[in-house]
Amino acid sequence: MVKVFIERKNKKINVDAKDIDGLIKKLSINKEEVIIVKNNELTPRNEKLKDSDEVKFLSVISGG
Amino acid sequence: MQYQRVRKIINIEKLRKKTVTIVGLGSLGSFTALLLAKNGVNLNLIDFDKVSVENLSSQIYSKNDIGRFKADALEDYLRKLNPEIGIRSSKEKLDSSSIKILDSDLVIDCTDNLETRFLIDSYCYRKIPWIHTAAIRTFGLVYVVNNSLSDLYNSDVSEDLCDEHGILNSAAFMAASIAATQAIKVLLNEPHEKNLIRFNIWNNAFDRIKVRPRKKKSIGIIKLCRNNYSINLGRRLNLDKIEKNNKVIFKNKNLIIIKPGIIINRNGYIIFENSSRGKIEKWLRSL
Repeated sequence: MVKVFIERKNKKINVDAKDIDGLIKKLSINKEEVIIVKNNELTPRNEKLKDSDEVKFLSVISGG
Repeated sequence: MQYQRVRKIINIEKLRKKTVTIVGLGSLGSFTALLLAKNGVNLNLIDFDKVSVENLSSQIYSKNDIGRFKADALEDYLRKLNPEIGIRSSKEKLDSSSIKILDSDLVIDCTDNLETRFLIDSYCYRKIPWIHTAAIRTFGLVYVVNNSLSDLYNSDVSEDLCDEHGILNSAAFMAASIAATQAIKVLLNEPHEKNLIRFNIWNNAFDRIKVRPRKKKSIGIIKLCRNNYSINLGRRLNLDKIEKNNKVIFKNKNLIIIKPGIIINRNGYIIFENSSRGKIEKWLRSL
């Protein structure tokens, strides 16, 4: 299980997923609105996942 | 005597010789300018916008400034605060024709849109150190750009707007504090933060996120807002050859801007204004 944090919903969940793309589809995340962080590192969407990975979907912020 | 306390921590004499450009003088920009001015840094202030009543809670301006250009109001405020520093201010919109106003020792992006950020990126890429900042609601972000902004935003992103979501002034001030501190470290050649700093001041959540340069094979055309695109070819380009085959708007040794709005950094980083993927692919084939 992958540990997931969705910032927009302030929600922490455990999800079974093989890669980031699968996770995005499973959680119906709008990929244009997030930056994706795996184990404290910015990660591309095709990245593979393994058990105990921690993934954060942080909202893109643009204001100034 | 003015810098007696801060002199115990940083090299004020060296800092006072430096000039920082701040692009965007809203919440992030006005607070960042305040902190740097207090430390004797010369400033180059850029914003085309005017102060409006809804800016008052989150930006440095007062009621008397409403209707004035932010660049003028901030310059007046900072001159009173520290008459010793040099200040230049510009009310021009930053675009391909005005881009050289960025020239300075460091640029801090305090804008509110990715279009301008990528423009800064294309000009500063491997030439001028620059810091990307952003803030919205209770969130803030600061990144001393190590390589290119496309390491962060490497696919289509949708932007949020302060007008729509609001901003808590303390979130902006915290981002400004981090950005000003990193700016001082960069200017003094001290080791600075390499990670992307991302926080939510509301619950004291604070992330230091590692950013790696993108792999060449993942390089693609990135759509920015309003039909603007960027691409990083990851290789040096011959600007003289491009100059011969195109209508040139502006050129220096690092950058060439050609019609119809293509900004080309010598290191292979290109911005296409008001274009399409088809047009870009065609242009790239002619390169």
